[in-house]
Amino acid sequence: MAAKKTPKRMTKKEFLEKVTHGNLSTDHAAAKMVEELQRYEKKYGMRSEVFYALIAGTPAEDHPDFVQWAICYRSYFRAFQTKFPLKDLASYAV
Amino acid sequence: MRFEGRHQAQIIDRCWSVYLWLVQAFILPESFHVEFPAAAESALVSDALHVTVPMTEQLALSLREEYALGRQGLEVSRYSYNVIDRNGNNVLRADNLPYHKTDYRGRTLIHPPHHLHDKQGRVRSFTGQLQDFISYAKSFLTSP
Repeated sequence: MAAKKTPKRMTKKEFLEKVTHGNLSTDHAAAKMVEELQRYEKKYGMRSEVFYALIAGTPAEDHPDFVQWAICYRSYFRAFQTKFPLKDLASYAV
Repeated sequence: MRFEGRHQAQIIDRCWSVYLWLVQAFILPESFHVEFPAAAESALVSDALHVTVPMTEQLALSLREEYALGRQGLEVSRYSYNVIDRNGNNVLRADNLPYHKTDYRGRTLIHPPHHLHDKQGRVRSFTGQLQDFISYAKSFLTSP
C-alpha cells in the first residue's frame, strides 16, 4: 500500500524568498479585494461605501460577513494607498 | 527587496507564525503551501491577512487579521476567525468587535473585547489568540 504523501512545509527561508520576491503586484492584490467587495455588494444589495458609512463601527457590524466586509474595505484602501501614496498625489493638489 | 521597514518585517513575522500554527495543527493540501506566500505578500500592501484553510471536506477555517503598528510593535487591531461549512455558513466565529461585555450566561468576558460565538451562536469568553482558536476549531472537529 502506498504511503499517504504529506505536502512539504515551507522553511522560513523559502517563505521569505517567496514573499520578498515580489511576484504579487499591488494591482493583483487590490483586484482580489474588489472581487470580494463586489460579492458582498451583490449579496446584500448595498455599495461598500454605503455599508461602511452605515454599518461598520456600529453594533450591526456584529455579523460574520460584516466584520469581514469592513476589514476588506479598509484593506482595499490601504493597498490603493500603497500604489498611490498621498505624498505623491499631493503634487496634483490645486 | 520590495519592502522596507519594521512594520513590514513584523507583518512577515506574524504571517510566518500563522503559517506554522496552521501546519502544526492540520495536514494541509499542497495548494495551501503554494498560495500562502501570496496571501502574506498581499498583507504587506493591505496590512491584512486573509487565508482560507480546508480542515475537512465539510469544514474550512477562514482567518482574517488586520494589523496596526502599536506601542508594543505589531498589533492585530481587528480579526475575524471563522469555521465555515461547505455552503459558506458560519459555524464558529471569534472576533474583537467591542459590542459584547458578557458571555451568554451574563458573566463578564475574561478578555474583553475578545469573544467567541459558539455553534449555537452563544457568546463565550475567548483569549484573542489565534493559536487558541485553532485548538478550539480542531477540537470542534472531533466533538459530536
